[in-house]
Amino acid sequence: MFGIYIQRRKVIRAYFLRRLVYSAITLFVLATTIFGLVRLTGDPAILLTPEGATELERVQIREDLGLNDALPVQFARFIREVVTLDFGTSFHLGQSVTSVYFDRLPNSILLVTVAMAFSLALGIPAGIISAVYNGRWMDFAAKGLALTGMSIPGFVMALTMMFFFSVKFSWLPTFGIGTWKHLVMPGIALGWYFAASTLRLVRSTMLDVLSSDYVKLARLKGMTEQRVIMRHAFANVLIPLISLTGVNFVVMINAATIVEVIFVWPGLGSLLLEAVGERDFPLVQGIVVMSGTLIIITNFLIDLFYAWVDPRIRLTR
Amino acid sequence: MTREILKVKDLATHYTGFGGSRVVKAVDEVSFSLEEGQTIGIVGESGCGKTTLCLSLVRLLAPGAQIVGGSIELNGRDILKLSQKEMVEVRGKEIAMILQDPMTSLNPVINIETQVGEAAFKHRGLRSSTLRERVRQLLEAVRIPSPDVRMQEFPHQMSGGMRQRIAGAVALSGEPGIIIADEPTTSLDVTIQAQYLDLLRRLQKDTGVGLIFVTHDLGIVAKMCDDVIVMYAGKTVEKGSVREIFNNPNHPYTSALIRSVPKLGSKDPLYRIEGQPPDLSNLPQGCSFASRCAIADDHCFEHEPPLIEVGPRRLAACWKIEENAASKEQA
Amino acid sequence: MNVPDSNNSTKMPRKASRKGALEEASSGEIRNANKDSRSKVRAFLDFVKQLPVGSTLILGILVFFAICAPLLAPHDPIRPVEGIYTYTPAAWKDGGSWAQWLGTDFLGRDVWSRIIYGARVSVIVGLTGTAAAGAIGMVMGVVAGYFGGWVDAFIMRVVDAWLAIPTLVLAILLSMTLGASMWNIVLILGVVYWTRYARILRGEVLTLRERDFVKLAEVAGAGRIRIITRHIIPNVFNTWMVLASLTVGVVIVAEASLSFLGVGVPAPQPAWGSMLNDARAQLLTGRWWLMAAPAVAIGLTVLGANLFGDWLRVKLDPQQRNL
Repeated sequence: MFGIYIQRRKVIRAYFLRRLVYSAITLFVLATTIFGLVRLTGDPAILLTPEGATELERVQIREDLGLNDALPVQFARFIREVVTLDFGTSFHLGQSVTSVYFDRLPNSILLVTVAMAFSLALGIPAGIISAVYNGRWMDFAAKGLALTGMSIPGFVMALTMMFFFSVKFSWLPTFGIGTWKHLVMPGIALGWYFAASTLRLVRSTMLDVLSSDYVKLARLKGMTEQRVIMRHAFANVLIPLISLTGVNFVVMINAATIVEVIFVWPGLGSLLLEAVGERDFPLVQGIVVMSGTLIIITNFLIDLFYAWVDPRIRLTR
Repeated sequence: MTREILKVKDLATHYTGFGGSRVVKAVDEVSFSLEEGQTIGIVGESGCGKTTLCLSLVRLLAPGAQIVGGSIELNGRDILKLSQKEMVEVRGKEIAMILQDPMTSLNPVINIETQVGEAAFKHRGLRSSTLRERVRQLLEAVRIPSPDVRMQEFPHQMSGGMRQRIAGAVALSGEPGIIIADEPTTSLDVTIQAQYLDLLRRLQKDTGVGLIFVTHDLGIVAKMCDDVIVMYAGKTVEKGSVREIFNNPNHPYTSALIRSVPKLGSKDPLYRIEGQPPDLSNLPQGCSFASRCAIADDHCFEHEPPLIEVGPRRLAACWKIEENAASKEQA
Repeated sequence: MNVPDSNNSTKMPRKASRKGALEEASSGEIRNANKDSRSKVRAFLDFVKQLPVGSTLILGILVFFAICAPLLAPHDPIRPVEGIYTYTPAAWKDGGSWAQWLGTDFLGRDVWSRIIYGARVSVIVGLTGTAAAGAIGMVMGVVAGYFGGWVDAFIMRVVDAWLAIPTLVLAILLSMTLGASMWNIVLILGVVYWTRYARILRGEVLTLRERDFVKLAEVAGAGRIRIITRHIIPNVFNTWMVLASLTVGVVIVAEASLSFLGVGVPAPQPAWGSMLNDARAQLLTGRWWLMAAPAVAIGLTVLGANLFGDWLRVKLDPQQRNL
């Protein structure tokens, strides 16, 4: 009688394990890719030293990075670095890469969280309203919002806001970190595009769902319009929305770089660009690998959450 | 004499498109009434306005469709005079509906318990354990095995027949006086169809609910219904008790429908009605069935036949009622 | 006997008619050819007529700017305008002039001329970057989908890993190792943005492979290369086009972002992203028009590309899948 439950639990466990193995493989491929990219694109020693450096300095760099060892040895060492999360010492900061990374990580997460909250808070209601009032002026307004959101790049938005809110009216601090006011512009600039993509997804899914038989049946049962939309229809929007939010979260970490640079936000993006500028090789490598790992973990959690939320999910994928 | 619970009079529902330049008379002056425990069948080809009629009864028409005339008296009051807000209290409580396709009519992400219990929660004020008990009863009533387990599950875990039985439970949940079943067995397997019809009949006997059964299948009508309305191009063409209609059809369309039902053991080729039903936005002058009718003459093409009483509680709209009856006697 | 006679009598006219038909055919061919070219013109006109007005106009002007930049630009985009100090304001501000109607930048270069030349970078990088990504994605997706097995599994893990590297970070890393130049940027954007094509095309190919006409071709002994080039690729081409049209905007923004961050198109060459970065420092001094010009250019271009992509999607992908 309860066989079906036990069976489902088994299926979920198998799914969990498969996803875990996939994530591990992906991480390995990621590490190998970075390793290959670094070694295949030329002698890091030349890249890493400033122009006009002496041969002695280059030899020193090669020695420091262990570039004189055989490739398999280098690879093994690199994998060990990845596994132990120890990427050595940053050239220009003199601190361990890992500690610098984890110092900056909370700032990045704060910014991304605010931006995500903004994009959902704007995108979901606007998407629902746009679908419910399909073809009316509110729908047009929402569609216009979506279009501008998709078309105005975040950094253009950031500079425009900066001009108006900081320079012209002095409402908000131009850059830096500190109070909640410092978060407003970076949050909107980063969340802007994602609000538009959320809006589009919610609108199109909602339109499909609202014309379905089960929504008709909910109305036939005498459910109020509010319950029909929020419980019966929106529940079906939630699943694709979660998967979009997961993808967006990952893209957002990426897009954050430019916003962080503009608003001098001490997150990972600006750290990376700084590292690139300083040719701080261990730091660049560490940030890329650790950010990638973070994204893989996030994807894994999203997959699990997805399986948990959607009763229909095809766990065999 | 049982109580009359629904009285529909001259109901007309039109679709208007292209800024009112095109009017589709999907339902045109349809009248009928329904008593407690009675089953009325609405028969016709697809596109004759059956589904629009059903949706008019609960006032859930698609945008563009509008009830333009008539009255629907439900339990003594005209629901056409109610606001949409007040209609929310009518739907599910006084009149419920079973839709055609069980694969799409249940919400995929809400569990069965919630979907079945919703109407009882809203309209009958049932809560927590009483509500759960009620859901269990309803699922038992529609013959769902191990209801305690099943009510925690989701529609995708069930077969089509099971889902349609659950749709029945959903309809019964608010204890309505009337259930409209819009071709509820069309998408089911033949063996499951018969089971489902038996179930509906038994449920009707137990609860005394009035059934409006919409179908294109006269075999099902013969099995299920007390009275029949035959619709053609949005209009009633014949109305009467099942026995009379089958024994003595007065409208050539009805007799054509009856002849097109396959008979067991008969080797005769199946009769089929030639031609297509007319375009509802551009109805011909005269009788709308004339172009497909074997006995139509010039008069039929020019003048629309009125719906006249041809016997006790028996109506038909045809100029050739007498001829038709005579030809049948000959045969 | 009547039969040969009747045969004869039918032969005669037939011959005649054949001759007539031949004559007709030769004259008809000319007429047909005429008609053909006319109908081609008409088909082209019909095609043009149904193009979305706004986005076609925007993209048309953009391409026109890119091609005719030397003819349109009033000044050299790289060298300062002679006799002009830096930061001449725009024409509608005090001290501005119509000769440099959008003003000059921090080196005294004419902003309008730089905008026109900047269109070149956006058009070239937008199109070739998209094509490069599309080419890599097409090969990867078709190979993964068609060959399946471990090849598929491996390519898909690479896609996963690629998606795990933030695109901009990857681009920065690559431009750091490859060095900054416009063609390197194209290559980088191709290497960065191929994954979306690969994932979606692979799915398409997986279903195509099970279709009857592919099976038939396999049974008939067609080689793999032939099946791929003759049956698979033509059938995924619409999807590819839609994906490409939706990628152009993304690629243009990515190029602008890289240039803005200073790791894109290198310095003297005018690119909208780097113009924006130059103008950023002038924000605090209130010279907003320096920023407005490239910002509007980028916004309009991406808007045009997105609108065009949406239009193409509706046209080529009627089921409106979420690509």
